Amino acid sequence: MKVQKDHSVAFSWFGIIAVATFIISWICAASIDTAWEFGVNVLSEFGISDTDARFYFNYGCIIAGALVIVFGFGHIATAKNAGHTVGGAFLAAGGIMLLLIGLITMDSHDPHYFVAVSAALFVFCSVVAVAAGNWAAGQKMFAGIGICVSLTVAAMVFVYSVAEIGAYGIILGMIWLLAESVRMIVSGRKN
Amino acid sequence: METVPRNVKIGGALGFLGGIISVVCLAFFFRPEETALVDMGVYMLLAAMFFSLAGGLTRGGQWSWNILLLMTFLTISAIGCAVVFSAIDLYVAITLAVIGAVIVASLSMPSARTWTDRMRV
Repeated sequence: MKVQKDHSVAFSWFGIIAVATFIISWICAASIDTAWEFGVNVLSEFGISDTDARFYFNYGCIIAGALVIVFGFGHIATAKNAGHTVGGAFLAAGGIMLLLIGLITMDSHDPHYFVAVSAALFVFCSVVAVAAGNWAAGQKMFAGIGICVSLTVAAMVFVYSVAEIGAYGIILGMIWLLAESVRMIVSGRKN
Repeated sequence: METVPRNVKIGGALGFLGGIISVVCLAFFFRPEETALVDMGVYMLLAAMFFSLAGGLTRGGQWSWNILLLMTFLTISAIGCAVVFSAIDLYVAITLAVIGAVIVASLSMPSARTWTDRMRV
């Protein structure tokens, strides 16, 4: 049986590689800058580290951001409904902000806080919109992942510190991005 | 009389088990303090949600397959939120989340969809 794939399979790899890039840059930065503590220090502190960790983190954000932008536009191009289109647009905007986090480091204060909070909000809105799109498209299992992730992150806002929300929120966001990439691979295959 | 698919039986039994675990934990972690009201309330909420899932997976259930699946995801989300608020014991939360995930798996079978939609009141 010959399996044909549409462009959504190709675009989905950008999401998977973006997650892999960010995880690798995070691990490298954390192993170099041993003063950074999970849940105590915010991730952006890597960007102004005295060690080489700042290069890993900043370049990691720039590369991962560029990949997320492509993934977001791919999401729009292969959208099945308005939820996917809006979610893809939010994701592309989130990718732009992630890229800017690598360029505008924490020592610039307000501009950095603006891009960091905007990135988080855009990705959160994308999770909600794509979950609605997946539910409408009949891909309810993948929609469920978005529902669980968005509600858990929303609860974190009321309880956790900024450092904890950043760390746990990014982990949940990466899990969602991987799940969304898998959905695009699954839905892109035709018999 | 139409036989109940095995995966629906398993899903219903697990929903019932989740409810029982929540009620047992409510009794086990009970503290006669005003500050414990939230924690007790969370266990009660989870018990109600799991029992309602078990009810949905029986003959003449109250929900269609779509709503049943949505409620299962909301139950798992409620467990996640309870963990975030530290209102529930972590090991109990993991156990209940696994039960919720298995219910989702049982609902994902095609036979569960046709049966729950046909047997709905």
